Amino acid sequence: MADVPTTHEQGDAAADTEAAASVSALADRLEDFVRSAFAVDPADPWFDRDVDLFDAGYVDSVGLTELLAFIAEEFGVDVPDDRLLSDDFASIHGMAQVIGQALPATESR
Amino acid sequence: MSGIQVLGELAPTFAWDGEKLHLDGDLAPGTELPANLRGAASVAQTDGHGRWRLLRDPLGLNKIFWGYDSAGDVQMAARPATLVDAGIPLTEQYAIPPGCVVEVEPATGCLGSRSLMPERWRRSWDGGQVDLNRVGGIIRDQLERYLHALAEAFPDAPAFVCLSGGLDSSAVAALARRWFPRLVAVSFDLARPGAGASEDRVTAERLARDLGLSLLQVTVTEDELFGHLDTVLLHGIDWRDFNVHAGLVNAALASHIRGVCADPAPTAPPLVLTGDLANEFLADYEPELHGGVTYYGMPRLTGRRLQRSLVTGLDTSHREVGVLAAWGLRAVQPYAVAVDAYMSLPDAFFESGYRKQRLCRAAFGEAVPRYVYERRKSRAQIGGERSGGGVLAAAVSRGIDAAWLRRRFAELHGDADASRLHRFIRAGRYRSAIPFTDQER
Repeated sequence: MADVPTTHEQGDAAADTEAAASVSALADRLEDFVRSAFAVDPADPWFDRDVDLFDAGYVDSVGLTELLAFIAEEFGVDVPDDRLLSDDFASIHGMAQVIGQALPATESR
Repeated sequence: MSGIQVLGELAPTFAWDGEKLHLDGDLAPGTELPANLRGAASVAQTDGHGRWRLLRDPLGLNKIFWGYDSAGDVQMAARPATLVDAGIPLTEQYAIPPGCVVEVEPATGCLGSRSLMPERWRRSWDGGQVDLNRVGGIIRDQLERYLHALAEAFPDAPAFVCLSGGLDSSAVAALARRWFPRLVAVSFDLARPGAGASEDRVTAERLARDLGLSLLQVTVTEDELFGHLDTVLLHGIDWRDFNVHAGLVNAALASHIRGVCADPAPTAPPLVLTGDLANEFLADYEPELHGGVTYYGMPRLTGRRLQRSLVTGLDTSHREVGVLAAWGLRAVQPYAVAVDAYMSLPDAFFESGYRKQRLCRAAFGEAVPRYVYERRKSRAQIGGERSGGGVLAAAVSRGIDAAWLRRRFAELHGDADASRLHRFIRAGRYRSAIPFTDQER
């Protein structure tokens, strides 16, 4: 017989699902901005939420400044310096996770 | 046991707390830090009992880079190239974050850190009104008292002021002459066959005459200018064209200043005052069009958002302090001590016309001659109608473009992969972390 999740585990799973949905919603808004602000071709086959925006040349240093201003204005998050140059703050998905972690708990739900 | 070694010297500290000057040694471990530390500062010092203080000023004017060596010790230096020479590749280096104070015991770890950067600097919107006379009065007062304190602290140091003929440097010259009686103005020009002196040079000559300053005229050929390129890349710690071009101008000035005071008293290396930073504080930059191509791209932001991004980007600007230090000169950027007044300006100010002229007039009044207020903005990097193209045009004509500068910077730092440099500087900030924590990644 399969293990039955405890109430606590069920709560954790629900929170994880909620957090994933929240990160996905953040990624939606980030992707909209990146596509629009940096003129990403809608048919670009290489662009997705896991591509390294800097390695692939979609966003440069000046563009990132605009992206940071968008993040501050849209989500109220100042990306900490030590995350700014981290590998996880290079893709839309990674940025959404960084923002999700930085958001106050009530706002990220 | 892990330890910390500092390789070479850090940039000198010329900090200010609104009342008092703080120099090298004044911010040592165990000393109480002033609440409002402004100006240039860098500290990487031990108390002799295994406890270290690491500190960078809130604007990040002075730099500290670090990395772990093969023995697990932390090596620190003012230049990444110094760490590369010590065997720590650029990809494994970090900056101490700007405005950060860290207390460290290498044997124990990081004991704590805090930021000297006021929270209000981070505010990207301010709908308030501005009282220009009040803000201007604060700027003038802070600059006057800072310059006075500097002159008293370094009575024997030869003092120079970089004079472009623009408002920012003219104001510094006009105020500093009161406190530095032997102040010498320095003016840059690029020699152009058949072309006259630049507008900057003509204005600098007139201004020096009117202010009673002697003028050191630095006129260099393109070959002389670009002969400084490697030095600028190494000591300016940036490959982006705007900072490199400005750094080349400063290198030419530094080389000639060094030439006229080749043997200063060892205790009094020359001070070089500049008008830098005011353009960042007033968001007074524009992209430049040359040959149908846009250079010096700017983020598409306005008002305080743009101001904030430019001020944050000072972390990676070492075109003055770093480049002048390569010639043993100490750059002093007086506007740094008035940063809070500039950061208090609301959005409405940035939307207004002639904002720089109006604020400068409120701050400096008749101390700066009227023709300086009425001058159109000009930059040595761009040149003008009289003198033809400036440093930008000369660089482009030599094929020294953004890609070339990236490649050369990477080569000079022992890393052939220039395409990865965006992992060292991003959005005007160096990759940063605090040693002996798990921050570095």
